[in-house]
Amino acid sequence: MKFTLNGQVTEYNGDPELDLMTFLREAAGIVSPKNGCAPQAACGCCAVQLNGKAVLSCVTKMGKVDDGAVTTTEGLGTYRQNVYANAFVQCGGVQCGFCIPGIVMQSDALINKNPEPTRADVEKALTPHLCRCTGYKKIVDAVMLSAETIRNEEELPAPTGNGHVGTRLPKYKAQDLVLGFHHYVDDIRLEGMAHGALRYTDHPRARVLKIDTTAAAAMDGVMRVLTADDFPGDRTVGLIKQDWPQMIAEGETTKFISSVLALVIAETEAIARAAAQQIAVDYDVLDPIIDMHAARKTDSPTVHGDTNILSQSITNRGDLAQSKAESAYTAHGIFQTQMIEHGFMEPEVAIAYPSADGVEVLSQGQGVYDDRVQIAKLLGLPLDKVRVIMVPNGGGFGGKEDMTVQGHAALAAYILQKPVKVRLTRDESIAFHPKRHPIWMEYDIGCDADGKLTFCKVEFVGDTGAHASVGMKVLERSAGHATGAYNFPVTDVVATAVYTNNLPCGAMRGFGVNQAAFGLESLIDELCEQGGFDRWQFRYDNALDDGDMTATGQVIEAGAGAKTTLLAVKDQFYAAQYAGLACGIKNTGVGNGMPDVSSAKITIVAPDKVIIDHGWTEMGQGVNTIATQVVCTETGIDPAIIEVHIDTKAEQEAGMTTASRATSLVGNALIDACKQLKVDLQTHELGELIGRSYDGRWIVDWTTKPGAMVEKVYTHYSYSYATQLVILDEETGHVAKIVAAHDAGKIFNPTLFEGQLEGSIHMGLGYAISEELEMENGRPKSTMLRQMGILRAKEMPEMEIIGVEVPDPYGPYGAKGVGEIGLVPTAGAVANALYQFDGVRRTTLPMRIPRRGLQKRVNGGG
Amino acid sequence: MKPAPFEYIAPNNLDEALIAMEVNGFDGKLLAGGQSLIPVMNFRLAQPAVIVDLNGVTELDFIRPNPGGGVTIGALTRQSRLEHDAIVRDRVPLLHATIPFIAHPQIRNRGTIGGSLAHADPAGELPVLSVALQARFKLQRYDKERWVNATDFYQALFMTALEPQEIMTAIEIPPLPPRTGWAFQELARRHGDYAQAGVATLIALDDDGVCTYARLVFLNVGEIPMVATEAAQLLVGERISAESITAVVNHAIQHEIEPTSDVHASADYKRHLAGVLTKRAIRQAANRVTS
Ligand SMILES: Cc1cc2nc3c(=O)[nH]c(=O)nc-3n(C[C@H](O)[C@H](O)[C@H](O)COP(=O)(O)OP(=O)(O)OC[C@H]3O[C@@H](n4cnc5c(N)ncnc54)[C@H](O)[C@@H]3O)c2cc1C
Ligand code: FES
Ligand code: FES
Repeated sequence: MKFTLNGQVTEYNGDPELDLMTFLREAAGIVSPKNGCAPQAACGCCAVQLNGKAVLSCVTKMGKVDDGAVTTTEGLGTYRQNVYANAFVQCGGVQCGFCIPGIVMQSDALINKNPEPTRADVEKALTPHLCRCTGYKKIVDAVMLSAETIRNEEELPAPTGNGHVGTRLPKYKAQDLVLGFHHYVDDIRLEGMAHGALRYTDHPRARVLKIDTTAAAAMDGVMRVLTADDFPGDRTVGLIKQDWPQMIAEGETTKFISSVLALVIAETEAIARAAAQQIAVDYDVLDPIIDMHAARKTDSPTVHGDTNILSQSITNRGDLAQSKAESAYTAHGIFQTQMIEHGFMEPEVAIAYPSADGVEVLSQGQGVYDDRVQIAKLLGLPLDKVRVIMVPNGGGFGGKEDMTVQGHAALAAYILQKPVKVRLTRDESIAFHPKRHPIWMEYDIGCDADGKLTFCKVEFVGDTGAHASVGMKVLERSAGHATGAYNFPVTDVVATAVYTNNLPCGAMRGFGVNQAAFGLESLIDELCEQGGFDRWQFRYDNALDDGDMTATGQVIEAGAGAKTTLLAVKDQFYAAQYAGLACGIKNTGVGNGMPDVSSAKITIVAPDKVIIDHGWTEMGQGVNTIATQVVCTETGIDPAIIEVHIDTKAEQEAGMTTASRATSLVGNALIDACKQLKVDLQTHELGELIGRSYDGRWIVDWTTKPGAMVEKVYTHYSYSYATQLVILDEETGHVAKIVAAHDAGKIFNPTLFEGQLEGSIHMGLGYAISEELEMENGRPKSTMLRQMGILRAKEMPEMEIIGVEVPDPYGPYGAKGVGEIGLVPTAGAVANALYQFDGVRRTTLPMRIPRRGLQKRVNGGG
Repeated sequence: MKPAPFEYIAPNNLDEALIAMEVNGFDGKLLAGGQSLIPVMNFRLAQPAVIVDLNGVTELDFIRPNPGGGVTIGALTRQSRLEHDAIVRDRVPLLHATIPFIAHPQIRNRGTIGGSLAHADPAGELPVLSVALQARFKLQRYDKERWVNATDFYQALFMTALEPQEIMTAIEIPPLPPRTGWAFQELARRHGDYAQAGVATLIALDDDGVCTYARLVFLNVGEIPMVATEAAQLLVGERISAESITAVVNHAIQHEIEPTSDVHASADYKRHLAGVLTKRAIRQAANRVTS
């Protein structure tokens, strides 16, 4: 058969059942259509045009392409390419970029059909597409701008700027992201590269009696089958606690449904996957441990060692019994939150290849340094024999902190002395990487007759699943943020993380804080209702001020921004008929006695080339842009000549890109690096400094370990604050608008700031009303991305982002982290709004709102 | 008359169809065999702005035996295929035997099982059979899917549980309990017309000829397929005799059907007709019980 591909006549005589995406990516070498979920047809990342219509190439059979015309971003022509690239960059419609090429092809088909689309037309057309970063608003802005530009036959120049802090510097190298020209790990092809596929257990908890790999190893094209015995080093790793064997050996018991038993390496991915199915395994099947409450009991079987209790975080202060007795009003509630999927658009993939006497790994993980430590341990190599290079990824949100396939790829490359790629399909990804903790919590809070909060008593129990990951830190964070953005004189908090055979739970944007905010904010409204207090004023009167204490007893010395954010939404709150309020606080930096360390290096390579090296992961949030802005602000160097690199070889120490800390740490490290550079620039031209490097470093090593006896508690070096207002449709009770007032200390880049928050609100609203990854007997009920409840463009309410700047004493230029707080208050604010509408107090998430809307409560509301 | 103008979308596979319905569900309609939809559009009884043509979604045209007995049928399977299929004949003889009652061969060559079930004409044979056989329907939306029992699917005249964006993709028919006989009886003025009344019957008997299970579902004597639960229960524990049949029939036609008069027949006549047909059907079903 024949068809045209980007205008070129192309012949194809292969299998008519093959999907177009595989043909484009593997045979034609066109990688702009991204594989986000094939063959689930859920994400739209693979969209191309077939005869002018946008189709999902992952489910379009080659047979349907016969005689047709296929167009990808490569075939749009330079004019349209420029329009889309510049429009998306200018509007901030691109973050990690993984979803964008598909969206461009869909939008282009729409604009051809309807040159003057409305926002609603665009949102409707985007139905097959998911974006997990942007919240869609800026994408729709970009499509509207593109349509207008094309309609008027105008040019759209590339946006520029001086790059100073506070300006809308366009996102670093984002034009390539828009058109799909950026190569994510899965887009990289190496000479002679082999492919791996994992064989998982068939049961969440079973003793593995025998793993028979003979049939698989004998298959044509199979190069090797690796099992637990093949690790030269220690196969059990972990970010904090070493409890995650990268493969389970015969005689051992599996931990969860994606415990790995073997890795097949073959000439093609298809052969590797087919061979993995041929591995026969005998088990002694055991009942999985699935209920965290039962798992806590001493008579429960255990997942690891002799107890399922991974950790317990306790903080208390003041006399609870007395405070309770003296409180005029008390509120009590038991809440349960759900497990959810991160839903980053790029599934996990790693490529490893042998180096002189070790391995190099192309990773999309959130922490190349942690990856390196763990890989070195697996292979029994010294650290300097392992190099991990970060390839900017298609979203992380916490879900790429633990290793999934990096270790397997590295093992295979090291043993076979060949480049090897290991990739997870979407189904595998959903069943594998750690999720958001389902947390059960029992809250008791009280206030006096004047509405001053008195005490807060909480118990949190979180299901951390099969592996620790960072579960102890997540529950520690729930405990540390149990009192939210409020001042409670008396606290009594305990948070327990429990192992089960469910999917592991670990880091996800918000990190245990969202769950706490949902419970606390619901009860704050209960107190208001009991005592007849005004919901806004009550929050304002109790919000943390400088000099007040957090749950852990840390005194906020300066920079408390909660009240300012409340003021920012005040008028709209009173004007709305059905509205809910919630505040939030979120740490910047891991703290709790763990050091937050960052170093960075600026190297002058040429009169028109300056390189910044740092160790933080770019995952769409814009850390590379932030780094550029700091250097421009400090030195006046033109942003156009700056390049940013992340690579363990540069030895720029950093930790996991987590805890909203990248901006603040990279900023301070770079300010430090610029000190000498500034001095040199006073006496030299840039061209005279070629070859020089400037190192900068910033460390916070003075935070307090929980339970330590110190005079002054410093749990985290900084916090950010927020208030969100959720306004409902007056007829149906659907969420109509979210107003988010956020204190960023200093807004580095308004476009990135709004983008982070709109994306967070998208995630927070999904968490509140639709997202859930349901488990049944230790297995996910569904591994379909479409069924995870992630909101689509036309389901998003209006969003208004209000930036507030209450400077932080330690942040660069006063900045605080904003990566996570955007979804801390959302679920609580939605719950409180819904209560106003129908009088029902919701205590479990998600709070599904029926399509037809809710029944209004008969009396009251407003 | 000609239909009002509409946009035409022809998806190539189920995913594209689900997306098209997700986008256009509220003002769009699915087109399967077109044997009911095209007439109503020609008369402008329906004026969808968008037509989503399922005919390219060939993956919905299948008949699969289920491991535990019974079959699963793709919604786009043509009625004529059911008429000639050995799996259907062996596993769901009631369905196989009833298809010829539907319209004419040309219409059955186009008309699909899903279209007929979704169209929900109370005079349609397939909705009645699906309720009698306790079938389940798979209803898929882009981001969710669910199974709905036929008994819950039909809600009111031409009203079903289908949401505007949903597509019926499969019909699962469970196996009949052992020792169950079946019968379908209807009367139409001319062969191929919609029937004036009809009934599908299932009867199970034990070794002594005592009824252990009975099901009676009526056609065109109510807004939806009418299930005579109480009447069927009267038969359980009894032998099949003139008396027991009369008691059942009288209860069913007096209390469990709601015929209305139309141009072809009065309500009383339909009631009478239903009684006559039921008597025949019970006997026929009982005779078909094999051990
Ligand atoms: C002259 C004539 C005589 C007839 N006599 C009889 C008769 O005696 N008995 C009888 O039962 N029928 C009779 N029919 C109707 C015939 O059986 C139709 O084929 C059937 O009712 C509809 O099937 P279809 O595939 O043609 O559906 P269409 O006409 O294409 O669609 C019918 C309706 O169902 C919806 N729909 C279709 N497929 C799906 C799906 N997969 N999921 C959700 N919704 C769907 C459509 O949107 C539409 O609303 C007659 C028709 C004609 C023209
Ligand atoms: S890869 Fe095709 S829709 Fe996700
Ligand atoms: S920019 Fe859309 S998924 Fe990241």
